[in-house]
Amino acid sequence: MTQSMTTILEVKSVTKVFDGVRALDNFSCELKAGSITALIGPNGSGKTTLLNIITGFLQADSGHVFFRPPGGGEYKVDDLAPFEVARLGLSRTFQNTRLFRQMSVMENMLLGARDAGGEGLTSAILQPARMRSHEAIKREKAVALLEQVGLLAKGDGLARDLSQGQRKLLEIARTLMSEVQLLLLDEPTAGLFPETIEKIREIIRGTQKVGTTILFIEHDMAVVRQLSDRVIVLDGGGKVAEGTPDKILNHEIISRSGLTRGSFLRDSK
Amino acid sequence: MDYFLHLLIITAIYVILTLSLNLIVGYTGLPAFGHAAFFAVGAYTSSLLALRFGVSPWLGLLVGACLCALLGVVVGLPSLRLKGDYLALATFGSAIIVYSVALNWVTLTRGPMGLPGIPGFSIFGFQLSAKWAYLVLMMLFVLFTYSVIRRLVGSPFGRVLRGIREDEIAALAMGKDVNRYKILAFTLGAVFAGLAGSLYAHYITFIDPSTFDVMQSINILLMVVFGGMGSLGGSVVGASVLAIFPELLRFLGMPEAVAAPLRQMVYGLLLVTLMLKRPQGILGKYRWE
Repeated sequence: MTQSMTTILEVKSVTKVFDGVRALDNFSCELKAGSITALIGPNGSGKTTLLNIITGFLQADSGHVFFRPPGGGEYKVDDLAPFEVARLGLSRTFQNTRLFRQMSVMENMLLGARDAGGEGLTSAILQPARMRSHEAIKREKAVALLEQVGLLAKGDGLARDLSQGQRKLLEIARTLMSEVQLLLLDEPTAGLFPETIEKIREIIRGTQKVGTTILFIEHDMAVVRQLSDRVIVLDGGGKVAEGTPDKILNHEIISRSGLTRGSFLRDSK
Repeated sequence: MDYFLHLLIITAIYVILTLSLNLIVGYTGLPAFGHAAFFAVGAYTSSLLALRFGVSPWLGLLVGACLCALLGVVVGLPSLRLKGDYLALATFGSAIIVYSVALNWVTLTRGPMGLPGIPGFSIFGFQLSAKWAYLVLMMLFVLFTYSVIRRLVGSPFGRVLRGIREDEIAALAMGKDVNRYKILAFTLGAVFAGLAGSLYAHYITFIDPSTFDVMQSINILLMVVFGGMGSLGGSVVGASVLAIFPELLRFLGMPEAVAAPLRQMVYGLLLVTLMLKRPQGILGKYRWE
């Protein structure tokens, strides 16, 4: 697949202050369409804050975020509510998995689709044939995705009864129910068994293959090395470095900071 | 026999109130402690229209429901900002306001003196007066309420409501306009509670603010929780048990001075036992986490 060099997301001089602490300090970055970018940095460096600002869950104190979907157009994301951002094709997961716990796995998936029409009040009352066929299409897609992540057998079970790894898988699969242009994952592999990490890596790769751009926060440098085309290093709310994984992960400053040391040892084995 | 029919009619009204509150509390997960406000507005609207302007109770019923829809939007607005306990207090406040208006705006509502002589319903010129006729009417409205709410909660619309109950942030991240759904839940719940109010007023023919006090809101909420949040069958059972059971104690043959406080105690005991044994309610699957 040829990689287009158009920018899908531009973060421009974003600053966010919490109670006097600069969570993000004049931060800028660009994501190329179709790329996989890893966001690394120590705890409290502003990674999740950045994700929250991009998806509209937080308002930046200054600066802007522009989203330019491949289909054309430009949206100033920082003016939009989170649900409007989501409807543009930005889909995210959360550091602490957020599932609809007391709903079935299948229902979780169906809610992942951005289908405002079929979910309206008039559709509920009139229940037109169009709504039913929408539902059938959504269900089909959900079945395929659940099968891919190995959760099809759990479809009718409640989400709260899943294991930690299954929850992460479901949350990622749920984001793929939408026509996702930009996928944002907050620590997709944290606390998981290697086999599950492998599965998640496959899903991320597969998602990139269909043209989706991916930004993910990650602490496991092995995963960063294997997956990303580009790495952005955050520290104290500012960008410390940016480049290819090879360049960044071997960079003197980064290794000296101790950020990647633990995983380096594991990596070289 | 008449007393028994009366009890069933009152139970039917409670069923409508409970079903409608379940939509807000049980399905959408918004703690609403002021449902009696909508009950009151429905009752007072069609009663006043009938008494002051001779408007048909049927028309009054519709006007009352419309007013309740508007009030539902207003009462629902705090839900966009507040969560949990704070929202519960805000809805509680709205019920107190409506109650106070009914009590103190004497020129409109006659305050504590109440509104006597509210005309009953009539069908094709026949005045409904027999208890059984009212029971049939109430059952039809119960059926109507049940099927509409069932249709709503069983649809993708209802799925979004439950999603909001489970995790608002996740629902937003899935592109759901959470605020809009919350207001809709309040509006729909309010409309059915308003219907219940009109039905009650034109059946009982006399209303005063005491029927719509804060305790009434709590009563309806208890019925929802008792039967099971997020279960329509549960609402029917919960409202029926809590409306009928304490009344059955009347037949134990005790003097009223003993029976009345005993009824309250049994009611309380029933609730405590159930919450300990089955916090999700009789038929509920969902519980507050």
